[in-house]
Amino acid sequence: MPKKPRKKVSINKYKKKTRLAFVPSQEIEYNLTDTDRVSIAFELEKPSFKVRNFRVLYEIEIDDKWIWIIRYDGWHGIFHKHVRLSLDEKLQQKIPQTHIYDYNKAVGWAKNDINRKWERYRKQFLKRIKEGK
Amino acid sequence: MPKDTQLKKNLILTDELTEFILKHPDAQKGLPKKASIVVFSEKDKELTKANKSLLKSLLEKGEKVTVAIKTGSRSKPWRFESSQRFAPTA
Repeated sequence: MPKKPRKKVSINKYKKKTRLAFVPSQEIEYNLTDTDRVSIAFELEKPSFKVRNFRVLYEIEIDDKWIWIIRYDGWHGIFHKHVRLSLDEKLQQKIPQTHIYDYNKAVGWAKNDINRKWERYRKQFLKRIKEGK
Repeated sequence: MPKDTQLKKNLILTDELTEFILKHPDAQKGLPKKASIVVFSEKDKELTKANKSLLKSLLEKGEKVTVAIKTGSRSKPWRFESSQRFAPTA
């Protein structure tokens, strides 16, 4: 009896499912002064309107360019704080904030952290890039 | 107004606005998907003066800015206006 041809199985079936890119439903840039701003982006779940993913940046303007110096995000399912160490974005310190799992609370926590420490973050970053030059 | 004071006051107002937007997702309807915002408080005249100057400089750079005003009203604590409407007084 002739053999039945084997069914072709798509390789994609076994490929690891990649996480969907963060597509914010709302992006807001809060202009604080002419050289400081906080940018917030978030994606809300429906119908609960809970924050599914988010990004909060504290940005400063240097030489007519806006650069973030502190970034908070919820990528990879964990709330992280990123501290930029130089003008090169790749040089950064990533600190997981494992004490918060609720992203609605994480957005508030991030904003509160900026409120309390913006001056220190700003000074430290400017000092670092001055020393690096 | 010193820049530090302006920044601190604006940070407090933006906290309140973020909380409001997250608690009342319908409020997003009054905002463009990507919004550049300058906040104002009807009660703080000094901050209004500083932020009008900030708004003016942003408009001069050609940015599209939305103005968010804290009204102090319980039923409608925030009001959004386009900068074009707000600009003549800036």
